Amino acid sequence: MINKLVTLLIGLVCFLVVPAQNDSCNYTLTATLSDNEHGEQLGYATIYVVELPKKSTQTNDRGQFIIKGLCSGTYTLVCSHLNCERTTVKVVVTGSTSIQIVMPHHEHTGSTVVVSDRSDRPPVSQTRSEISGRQLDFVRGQNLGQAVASLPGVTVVQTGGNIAKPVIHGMHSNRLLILNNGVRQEGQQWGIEHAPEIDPFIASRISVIKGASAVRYGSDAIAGVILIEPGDIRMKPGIQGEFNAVGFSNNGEGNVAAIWEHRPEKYRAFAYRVQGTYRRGGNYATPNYRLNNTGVEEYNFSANAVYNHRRFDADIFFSQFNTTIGIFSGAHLGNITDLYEAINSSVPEETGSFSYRLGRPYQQVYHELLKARLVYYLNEDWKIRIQYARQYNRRFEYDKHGPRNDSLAALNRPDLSYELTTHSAELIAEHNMIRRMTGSFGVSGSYQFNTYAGRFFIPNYRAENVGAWWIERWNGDSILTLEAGIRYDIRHMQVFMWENNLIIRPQHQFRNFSATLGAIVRYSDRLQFNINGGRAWRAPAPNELYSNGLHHGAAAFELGDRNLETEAAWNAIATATWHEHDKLDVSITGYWHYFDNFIYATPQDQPIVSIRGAFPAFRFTQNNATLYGTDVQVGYHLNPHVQIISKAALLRAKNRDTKDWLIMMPADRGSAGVNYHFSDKGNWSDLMIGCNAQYVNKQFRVPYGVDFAPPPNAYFLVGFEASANKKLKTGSLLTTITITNALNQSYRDYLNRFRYYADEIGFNVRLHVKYSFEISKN
Amino acid sequence: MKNTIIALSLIATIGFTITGCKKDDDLVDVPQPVVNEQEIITSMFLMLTDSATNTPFDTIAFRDLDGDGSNAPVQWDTIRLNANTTYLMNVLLLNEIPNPADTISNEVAEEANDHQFFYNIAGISLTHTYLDQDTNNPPLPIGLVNKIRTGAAGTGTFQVVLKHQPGTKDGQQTTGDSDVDVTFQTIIQ
Repeated sequence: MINKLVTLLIGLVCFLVVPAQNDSCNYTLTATLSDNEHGEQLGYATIYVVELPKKSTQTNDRGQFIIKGLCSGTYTLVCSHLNCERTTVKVVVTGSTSIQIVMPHHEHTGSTVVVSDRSDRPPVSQTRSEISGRQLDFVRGQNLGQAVASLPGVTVVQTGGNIAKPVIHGMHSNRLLILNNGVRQEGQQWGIEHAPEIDPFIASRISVIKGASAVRYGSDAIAGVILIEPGDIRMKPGIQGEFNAVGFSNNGEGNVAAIWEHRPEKYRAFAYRVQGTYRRGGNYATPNYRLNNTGVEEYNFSANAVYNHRRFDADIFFSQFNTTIGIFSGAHLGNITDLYEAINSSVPEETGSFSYRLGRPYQQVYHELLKARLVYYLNEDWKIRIQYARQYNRRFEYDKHGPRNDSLAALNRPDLSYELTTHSAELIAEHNMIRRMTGSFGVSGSYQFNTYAGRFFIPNYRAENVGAWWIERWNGDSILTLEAGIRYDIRHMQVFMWENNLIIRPQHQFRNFSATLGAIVRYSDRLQFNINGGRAWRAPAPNELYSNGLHHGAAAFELGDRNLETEAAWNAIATATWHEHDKLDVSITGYWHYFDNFIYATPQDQPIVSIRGAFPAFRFTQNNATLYGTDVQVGYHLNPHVQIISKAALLRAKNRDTKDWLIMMPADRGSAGVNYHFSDKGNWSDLMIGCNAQYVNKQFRVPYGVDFAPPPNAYFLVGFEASANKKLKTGSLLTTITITNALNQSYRDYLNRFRYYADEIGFNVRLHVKYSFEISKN
Repeated sequence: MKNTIIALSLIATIGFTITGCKKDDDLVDVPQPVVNEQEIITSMFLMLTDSATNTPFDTIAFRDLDGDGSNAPVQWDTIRLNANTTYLMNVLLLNEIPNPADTISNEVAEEANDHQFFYNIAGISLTHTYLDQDTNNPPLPIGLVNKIRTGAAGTGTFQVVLKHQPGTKDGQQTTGDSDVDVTFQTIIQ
């Protein structure tokens, strides 16, 4: 064993273990990359060898890379990874060498726009932003939609305070894919009041990929993808854990969440993680009144076990999600007259006092996911990934009033119920650098069936999807990366429903190509361009084809059209990023979606009459539409302590056929914040205070004469945040505090469906404490 | 100790997987008949009796047999009354989806303290008086039994609104949810 010298310019530690060999050009350099903050192995980092560009490579899943056929000499390695500062390492090779490279972690003070490279992620040329590290700690306790809304270009469409769906560039639900732990989330996502059935505490990173990602994930991902990523289970033997407690002042909400992770010393190949969350909240308060029946109760858990063999990694995951969400009782209406009465009264009829009691109307949602995955390393260059997942989703909705008949009322059956089961599988082959090319191809398939009970809204159906795709990337040199991908999908759906006392079984088949083309241009160390364009499509969803029923919340009928055709779009997105370490970060994104047959609900001339009066009717129809806009984010370090972050997002969404605006699109908005970071002192770190202000303009761009009420006025909100982390003997204790709507303003948001009835939530203090620990032998 | 932890966690994982997974109730091919848990109201009948002669005068109907469904009403009568006449008017509400039909007006009478009919008259000379009361304190009208008196001939509308006001009944039409809201063309001749 001979120790040799390894110099790191910014890096830190090095080891080596080298038996001497004869002095020819057949030395092998083996290295492992990890990050200095978590000791996490850095998979998919790019390693550029300055002296021998042809030997450039990337790390595998486990942060390892091998460079063969080296002569003795000094080599300069430039390592870059999405989570770390670019690191340059000088390696002196006089024999086969094994080294360890530690890379400094990025400060995640702002949501940096980063570029990833991993097969279960979409093309790298797309724009990606993420919430992780401290940024994630500041949104712990919030639901998924609210958590991602801090990213530029991402907003939420809400139904009250507890139901929030993420919106990317004005698109959501059927146009936005959520990938939970590598599996397409299959819930009843067609409904605007159906929030994603995911516990955000599962994630150690939430990434938003903007732009169509259909080639990798199949149709539907027209607007983009949200990736909910649990961290990789620890590779080092030992135990680690995390306990979170979050409280909210406004609705007396409490969250507790715990994670326990263990890789035993004796069986290093095996590791497991268990995780659980409980959440209970009461009635929300607006500045002037409380909203009756707006509580929530939720409990979730997950268990994950992995087995890491030399040649393969096996992974099994199970999660369960249970929630009961109270719906503000003043939002459940008998008819359109009631709606106008609600709109015209300044204070809703059904205000309440503080209570945790959940009464009618409410939703009860259950979701479970079982996933099994095997990654097999064929050789240095190739690996195979096989994944199977089963999801079961059950949604019960209870109306405001139970049956008048006492014996029926005692059964307390839901008025609407859906059960959706999805089996999905995929097989992917993936190769590392072969003649400067990296890439992957795969096939995926799914089988899904839906049943309903109670009142009709969407029919029973079975649907099968099969798709095949191929993405290749040319890693030209340090300046240019090019990539291209193509996919073909077939979707078949058979519907079973009653019509005129007969069961009818209409069938639908949709098939189409998707394609993507992109480039990354590293113009200089500081300036980088990501450009991506392509074609994406989606089949009409079951509700767009067949829905037929009344939305009590909007006092409106929703009618499907079973002759709808495929919706397709040409998409382009480009991002310019300027990065000066500890100085300036700028990212400017422009996007454009050119839709043919954009599906949306349009009002009908004739209302539908029932004994309860006339209801406006909306029927799904198709038009050509264009959506375009820009997201801007600027982070500036005034000095080592003070950082300024500002963001802005603009969107224009036009119906090209009627030359009018599209309904329900987010208004233009901007925000600015200042953070002050104190220097670390003794055991204290992450000492930070900050304040922020957000301005959301009135949405002037709405279609003429369609909505029940004009869009609400612009609003301006102020918030504060602070954090402190104390290092303890066995771990650390982090405290974060955020204050939202600090000035207790009364306002309404255009994208909240309850804007017709009630104000938004008032002053709210969130207090979060996280204890994390690690026990390992070295 | 560690072996125990591993064994327990393995058992737990497998246990969750087996017991946790909900069964696929594969009844896709045989959609369940639509069930409306809240007995919906499909039909309303206004039964008019001439109060002077105490003889049945006419029954006015509104019938929409798919309830909250999107089909149009199958029957929507016009009210024709004689000028300067007093009528007793009883309201009957039915759910005609089951056979025999459910009489929903009986349920309304049972929950009289939470329900009230409102009658809005426009364009014609017609007065309305409640003849029934609930047991609230002070008592409030229900509107299942009424008296109407016509004046001079004319054409206008007669709107019937039934409000469900659990715990909030206050004699005001703006309170609560609308269970019925039907406007009849009305001719006094």
